[in-house]
Amino acid sequence: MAKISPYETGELTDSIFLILLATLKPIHGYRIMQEVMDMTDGIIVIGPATMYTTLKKLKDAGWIMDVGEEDSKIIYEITEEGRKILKNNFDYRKNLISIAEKWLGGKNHG
Amino acid sequence: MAKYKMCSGLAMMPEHDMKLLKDMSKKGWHLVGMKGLLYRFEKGDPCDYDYALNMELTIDKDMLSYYEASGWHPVVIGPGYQIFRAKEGTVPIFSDKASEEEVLLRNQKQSGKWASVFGILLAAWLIIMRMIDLGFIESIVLIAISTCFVFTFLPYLGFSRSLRKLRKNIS
Repeated sequence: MAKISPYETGELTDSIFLILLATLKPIHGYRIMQEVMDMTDGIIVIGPATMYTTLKKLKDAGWIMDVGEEDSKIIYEITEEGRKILKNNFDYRKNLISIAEKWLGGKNHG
Repeated sequence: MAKYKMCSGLAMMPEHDMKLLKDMSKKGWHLVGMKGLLYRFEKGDPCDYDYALNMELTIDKDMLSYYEASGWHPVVIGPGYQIFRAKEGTVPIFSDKASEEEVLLRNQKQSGKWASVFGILLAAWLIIMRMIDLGFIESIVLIAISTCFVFTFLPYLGFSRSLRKLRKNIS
């Protein structure tokens, strides 16, 4: 059975979620790795080949775009479509957290 | 002073070769380039390095900036492949299996496509050879097409093997 891609379903992996957050403001592609590491206090670290491949896929999906270049290094920013996907995923994750808070904090099943 | 060691085919056994390069660096012999299918090493201080192979088709300053920012320095840049070096323990160039699988799949498709083309050409040439006599040109063309077939089919097998191994680790 073929694997369903997050780029088709909009069900973002943690890494893609964080990369999209990092592109809310224009940023050099190579700097996103450092940004994600700083955001997560080093818990999530993205390798260069993974980052380069992921940015190409995000661009193909229309979720980020080139907004310029500095010293031959591309600067990316999230698109409107990307913001929509990010917001949907954020709401989904928030909803999951509220459900978990009710069940873990209220009706305690464990 | 330089030393040379045979490459076992980067697409065929990448882990084996990256380990070889690492072991050589521990002994003070560091990869500086390639001469055909031979790795060229030069003497220096023993160091604990990790080596990584990537097979990106297009190389530019933007792509290399990702590696430099992560501590990976390009040592060999060849047609369709790059070998990087970093201090031991640096975050691997592929930090998730999905992106590694994607690059392997792309390379597998590319080499598979060319292997099919040369496979068909080889079969066609073998049939033509049976029908007409072109003298020594037959052998030259046969060797040329066979060589192209081998150098595309073997990488295809290598990428397929790496993909199977990766998917076995994921599942």
